[in-house]
Amino acid sequence: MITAKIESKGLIKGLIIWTILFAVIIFGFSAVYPQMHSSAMEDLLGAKLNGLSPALLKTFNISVNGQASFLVATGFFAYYFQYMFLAASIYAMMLGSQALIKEETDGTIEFLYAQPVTRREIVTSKFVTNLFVLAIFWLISFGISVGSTLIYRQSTDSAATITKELGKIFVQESLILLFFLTLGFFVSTFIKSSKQSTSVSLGIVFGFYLIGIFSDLNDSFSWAKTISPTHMGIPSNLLDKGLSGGNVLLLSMVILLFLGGTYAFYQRKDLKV
Amino acid sequence: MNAIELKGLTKLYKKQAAIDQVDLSVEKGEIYGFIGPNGAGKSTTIKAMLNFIYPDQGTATLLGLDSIKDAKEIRKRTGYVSSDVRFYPNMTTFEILKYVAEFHQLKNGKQQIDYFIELFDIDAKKKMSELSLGNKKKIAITAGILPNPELLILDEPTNGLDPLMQHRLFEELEKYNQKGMTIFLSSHDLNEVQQHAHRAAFIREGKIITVQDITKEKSLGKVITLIGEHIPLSLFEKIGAAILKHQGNETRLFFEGKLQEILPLLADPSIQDFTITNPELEDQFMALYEGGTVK
Repeated sequence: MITAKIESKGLIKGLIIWTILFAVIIFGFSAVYPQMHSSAMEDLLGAKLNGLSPALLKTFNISVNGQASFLVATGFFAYYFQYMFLAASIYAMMLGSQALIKEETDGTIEFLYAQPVTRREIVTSKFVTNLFVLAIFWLISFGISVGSTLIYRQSTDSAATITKELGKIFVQESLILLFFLTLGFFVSTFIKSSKQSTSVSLGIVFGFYLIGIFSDLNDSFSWAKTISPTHMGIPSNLLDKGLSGGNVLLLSMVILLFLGGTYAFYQRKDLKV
Repeated sequence: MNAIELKGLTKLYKKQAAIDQVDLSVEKGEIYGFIGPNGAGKSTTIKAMLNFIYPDQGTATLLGLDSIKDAKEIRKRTGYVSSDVRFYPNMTTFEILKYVAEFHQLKNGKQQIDYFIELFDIDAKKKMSELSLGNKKKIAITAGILPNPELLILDEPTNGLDPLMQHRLFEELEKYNQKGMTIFLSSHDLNEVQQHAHRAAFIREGKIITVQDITKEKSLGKVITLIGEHIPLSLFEKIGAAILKHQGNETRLFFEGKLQEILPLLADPSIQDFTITNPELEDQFMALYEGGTVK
């Protein structure tokens, strides 16, 4: 509990900054939607998009049908939010990858580990605290997303549908964020310094993103979709089909594996002091 | 049961031994000095004892508990002051000490904190990032002593402290020691070990090379420095004086007998001057670390 209190103090500033940035960007994008919805723009986009190759539309996850359509409020949200989700994944990964190594890099582990706590308790407190911070960030982001989309919705967009569909995206993506958080924790047990955390997080998240793009563009590489969590979390896909049972099972198993690996590695590790 | 029992403790870094087959026994209630130059293996030994790192060989038992299996219980009953004090920069000194009290579930934590704040002249409202090394050291020392542990491990505790605070620290430590606290004092300040420790182990290149009973030396032995040529040293040897050093016209002797026995010999006309002092650990330190042997 005390470890969690100490940990949360160091996370609040980052949480505030990420949340404000998210809010500003979401509002900014949402404000563009009314212009997209005008009938002239609808005709123009419809004609242009139908002229583009399906592979290109897939690469940018642009859809012109159903709730995922670029021309309805939920679809427009799903389009721009795919990039926001990448940023959220990086945040989750950075939270995790800094959690354990930062104390060693800053030297504060000597204070913490001189107190009557076990290494297992340190990992648990830090994991719970980071999970809580990530959950707060995600809940606020959900509130802002729904709020801003409702504010700028058009007469054809139903408020109930917007809330329900955005809820669907956020619930499913939360499992993927949990994946990145636990992967980050696992990485945190073997990187040498917290200074490596940002580059490692960016590398891993963008690596998965690129795998997802290649799997869309190249049929012989399409199996790679199943190993790219960022691809699984594409909002327009989540609106269309949702996460498959197989993907949920796979993600859950890998999350448990990373968590178990974190406890095991941290328990046997020589702390850098 | 000893407070600290190390048996064959070895830690390798890239196949190089940072500490090599370290055997050490610290009795309960002792102030035990741990002496060695930088890089000798003092901090590595302490870190292996406290499970910050895992030894490649050997065992460490603290207060009868295994350093790995019972790490949490050991830390409940052991205080530790690190040589390199680094705290959460945005916390105030009071917050740090409050957390220590909470970790150890101290009933009179606030009172205890207030006592040390006054003793060490700590500014409770200052953030850790605003403190000098000496002030951080005071917080580290307070955090170590605050839970009133059975065993206190200090790694270079006076580094950065001014002489007044050093004096207060040792006064306090002596008080706690008299109440039964065992103190393990790792230092390269030979004077503080000599003044306060009962015994001291010397470590060189990761190996314990000797353990000295300082109390005995303090009460029994004297170092006599003689200036002069053709001094009849055989007469001094006859009464049990050992020659520590003989260079030019200066001779240093170690004598454990009664001073009355040696005083008549000091009247010899060949002796131009002499001094009688307590034996310095430095004499042994220099002998040990410059490749000589302990007499």
